[in-house]
Amino acid sequence: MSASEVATTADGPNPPERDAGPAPAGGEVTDTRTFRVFRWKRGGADDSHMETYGGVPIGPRTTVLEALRWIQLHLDRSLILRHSCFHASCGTCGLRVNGREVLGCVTFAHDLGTVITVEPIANVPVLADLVVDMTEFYERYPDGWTQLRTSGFLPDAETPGGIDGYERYEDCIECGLCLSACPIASTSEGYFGPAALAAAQRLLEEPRGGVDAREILDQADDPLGAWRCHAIFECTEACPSGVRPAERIMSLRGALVGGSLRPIHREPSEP
Amino acid sequence: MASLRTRTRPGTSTSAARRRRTPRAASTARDWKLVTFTGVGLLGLLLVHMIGHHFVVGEVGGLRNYDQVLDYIAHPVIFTIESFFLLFVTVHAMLGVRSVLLDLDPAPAWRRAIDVGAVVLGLGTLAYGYFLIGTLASRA
Amino acid sequence: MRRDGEATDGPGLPTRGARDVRGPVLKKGVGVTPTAWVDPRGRALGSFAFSVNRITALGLVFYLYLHLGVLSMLLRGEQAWNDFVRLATTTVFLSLDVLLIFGLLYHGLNGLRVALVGTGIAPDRQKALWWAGGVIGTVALAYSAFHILVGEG
Repeated sequence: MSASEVATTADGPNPPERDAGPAPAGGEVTDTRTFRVFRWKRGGADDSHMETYGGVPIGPRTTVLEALRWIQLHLDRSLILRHSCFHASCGTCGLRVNGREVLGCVTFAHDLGTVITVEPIANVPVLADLVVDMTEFYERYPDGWTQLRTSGFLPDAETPGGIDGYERYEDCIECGLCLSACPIASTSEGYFGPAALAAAQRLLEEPRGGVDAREILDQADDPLGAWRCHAIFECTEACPSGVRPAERIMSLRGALVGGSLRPIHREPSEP
Repeated sequence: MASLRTRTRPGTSTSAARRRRTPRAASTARDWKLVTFTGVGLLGLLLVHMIGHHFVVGEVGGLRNYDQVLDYIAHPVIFTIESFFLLFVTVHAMLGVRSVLLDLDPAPAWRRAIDVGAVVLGLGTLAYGYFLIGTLASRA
Repeated sequence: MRRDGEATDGPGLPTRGARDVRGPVLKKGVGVTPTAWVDPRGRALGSFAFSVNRITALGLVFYLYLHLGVLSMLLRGEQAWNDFVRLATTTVFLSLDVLLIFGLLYHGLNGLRVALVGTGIAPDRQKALWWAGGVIGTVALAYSAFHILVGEG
């Protein structure tokens, strides 16, 4: 979708305040940045556009999310964004910043250039401005997959490799960045997507709670499942939690062509 | 979004679920295995093809003149290798072209046309290729 | 106050009908969606590897038919073939041969990488395999280029 450019001016509907106050966070103001932000509101013609907010004060540790909050508080009350935890646990503030999928809450604005472009994640519909509707993200999970379920302690759960062995798919925070980064999801809305397939591999890697491995494999063995992936690995690059969805899809394929399911572990260097 | 909960589905299906129910032509496990098998096979065949043409035949510079080429292709071993090479490269190429075209997310009618087109073009390529090497081998 | 139809919940708010509309879906790519696979902006090694793999694939398919066309000259007899060989051994054509060797090496070695990764043999070694292929391919390309341009030239 193309988006025209609009600059917020002092004469506009949301005039910037002259004395906007300190940097949103991260100590003293050391610099300013210009933010180009995607805007779209429902209820009219397709008037999506990029709006420019200049002079946003930042410090060395100001995050993109904090800067956007500052814009919201001081320049434009109508800017809609979504966040929750502020520490990369909830996955709510997934954005595309300068074209790359990131969590706004843990991405520092300082090193992103003087003009920072912020867009909602791709391949899911926009609700308003930077907020997307995640319903379609979940609908890519095939029917009957039970990856998302109420947390609980199962009496028959075993931990042969210790707790480290569980530090894998549980890391998925369902932020949707993998789906946004996936070039194939752009051209195939029916594709299960990296998160769903990673979930399937995770279920097979550590089956519990009566998982039917054959059924999971049969469902993944679908033209729009494991075989739709082109092994581009952008989902792994985008994932803020080290889930490594692409590697998991490749592992699934190994099992689907008759091999064993290779376990995928986190990169040792990842936090 | 990261809450652990039982997934619920809204009453009305959106595009992802709706489109998944639509029959689609796409690459399957069989296609992927075939691409991989022919691809790995081509690596070996290509190595033989290149070495045979450019390093073994002829003292310098490999196959060059008309008679050399005809003698080369008429050799039973070479004829067999080149026949397999033609088969593998055609299957690999047609599956690849089909995959590229399917990534353009064509409408169902076009997907069918792409499948048929790839088969027809592949068969045509094989027919002409075998006619070519058969005719040349017979002239040696 | 809520009302049916096109009523709104307040001044400036969208109508109820507008709220049911599926919002725009942003896509990656240069201009049109199908170009997402070749859009290098904000992408990593895997995208680069894939894009070059596809570009070499399309080039090699073109070459397949070019090759069949060239070999068809053999059907026309000795004179036509020998005339072609004289043309094909000029420096310009030999340089195109080097380009062809690059395409074959890249597509072949990257294909091997994808096969090893995609069959679950080395699902988490895609970067290492790409660089290993790069080293092997560079050496092979340098040797081939020398053989084609200097050894035969």
